[in-house]
Amino acid sequence: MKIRQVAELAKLKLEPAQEERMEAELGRILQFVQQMQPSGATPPAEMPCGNVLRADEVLPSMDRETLLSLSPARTKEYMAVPRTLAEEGEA
Amino acid sequence: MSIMDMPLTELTWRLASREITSVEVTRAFMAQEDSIGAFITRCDDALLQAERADRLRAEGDAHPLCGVPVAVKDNICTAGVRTSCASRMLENFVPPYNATAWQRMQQAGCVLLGKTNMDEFGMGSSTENSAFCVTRNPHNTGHVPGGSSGGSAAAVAAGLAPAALGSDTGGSVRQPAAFCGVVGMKPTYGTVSRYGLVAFASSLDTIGPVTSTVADNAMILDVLAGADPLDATSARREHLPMAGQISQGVKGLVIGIPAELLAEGVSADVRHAVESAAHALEAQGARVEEISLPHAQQALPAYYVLSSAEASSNLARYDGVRYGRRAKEYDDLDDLYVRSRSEGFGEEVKRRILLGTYALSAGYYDAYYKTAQQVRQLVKQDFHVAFTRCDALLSPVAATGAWRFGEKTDPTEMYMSDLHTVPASLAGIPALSVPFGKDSRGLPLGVQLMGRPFEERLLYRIGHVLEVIQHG
Repeated sequence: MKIRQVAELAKLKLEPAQEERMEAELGRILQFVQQMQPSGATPPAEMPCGNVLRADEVLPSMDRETLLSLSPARTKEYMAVPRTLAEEGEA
Repeated sequence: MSIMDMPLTELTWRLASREITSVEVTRAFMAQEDSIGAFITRCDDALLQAERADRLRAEGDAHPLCGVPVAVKDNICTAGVRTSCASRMLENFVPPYNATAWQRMQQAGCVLLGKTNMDEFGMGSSTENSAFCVTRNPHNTGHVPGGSSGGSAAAVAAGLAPAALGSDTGGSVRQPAAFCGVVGMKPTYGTVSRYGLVAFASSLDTIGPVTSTVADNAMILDVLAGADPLDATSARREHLPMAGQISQGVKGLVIGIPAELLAEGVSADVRHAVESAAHALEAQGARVEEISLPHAQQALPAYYVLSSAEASSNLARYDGVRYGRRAKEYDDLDDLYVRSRSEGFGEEVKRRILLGTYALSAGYYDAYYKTAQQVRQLVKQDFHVAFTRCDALLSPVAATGAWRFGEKTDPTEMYMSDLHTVPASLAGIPALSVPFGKDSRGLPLGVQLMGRPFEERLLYRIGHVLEVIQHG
């Protein structure tokens, strides 16, 4: 397992020592899970259940102000995040 | 008998007959010092809740559980009360809504004593993965209480709460219940709404009661069970009350013992407990047979692939934007995500996210996730076949009793301890952990009863017989 690549996909950064340790541990875990050998008539991987849909009705949802108050940073009625687009003239 | 030693059946009777009040009961439990670290949060307003319950009862027409104080695992959302999942990520998260399970308890008039410790996000088997505190086994404080619902099981065992809610994804109610000598039920998947249960592995997560007796457990499950429009996977069926319907005995029942779950690795003490339970049930008129679950040994690897895959997806929501922890310093949006997650999650949670991300990544999906789903189907079929011959199955809950702190340091070794509980989780069937016997160190042991989907009542019936045999 290329641990750094997987960590990037998962949006995690590991310390070098942690990276080394986890790589070894995950290697052992992967070895362990390779014991799986579905034999005989292999069943489908999908669970046999259909979709559960509710009626398309407008229902009350949670109060916006309550939800916004949970955000670690906000400006007025928006959750605040760092700038994602460069300003004109910037690289 | 002191209030702390009373089973729920007794407490509720005394509350109903006005012999005691909820304020008295709640005060008695609040006065107990939590020397074993069962709670992350204790509710300062418990007495106010109790006063409300007493008023409700005075007005008449109260639910039998009205005024009963309970503890709730810290991954079940409680409006206005911090719900941390024992994680730095949710250290300051105060949910604005109740989980349906707690909502139903609250509507019945139950009093919230506090929120119990656990392995972070439910990932662990000893409660050692909590970011906040250590929970000790009340029977021997040098030993773990089990996990991940270790706080709930220890609280009930130590007389800090008459009942508690836990959650069970791969054994997290059943194993700590066994380690602490209390009763724990993992209901059929879909019996109890998952709405407001912080998601770990959605196709496996269940909420279940932890109590000191089997009858108490049935009382709590009666309140929790029922369809919920807020959880699309909750079962659309009527729940028939079970409390008071569990003493019909076991005469004529066929109980199977899966050979694979008594194979090597099971300690002599545990084997002895299961065999004694089997003999006791036979003596009460049940027929006990050895049966086979051919794929049971593969359930554990399949469980770790599936639960980690689902966790990696479920925990992607913790991005430092909408709620939960946000890193103080960051360069840009991507850095905000990475730093918030890397600071907020503990080591085991990171390990599972990495395992799950890998198992779902391009090129590996078939080898891991798809294979695990196929194994899951085979495990389910094994149970289906077993239940054509047997009414219920009896097995160990775990290979040993509670181990010492720090005894299991290798993650794979810790995962192995879930071997006996994950088959029922993959199959979605109900499984009950009932105390039975002690190990050579004097620590409690439990046995597991597994049943057909939605046959919780039958498991309670058998569990009740085992309880009577032990305690008279």
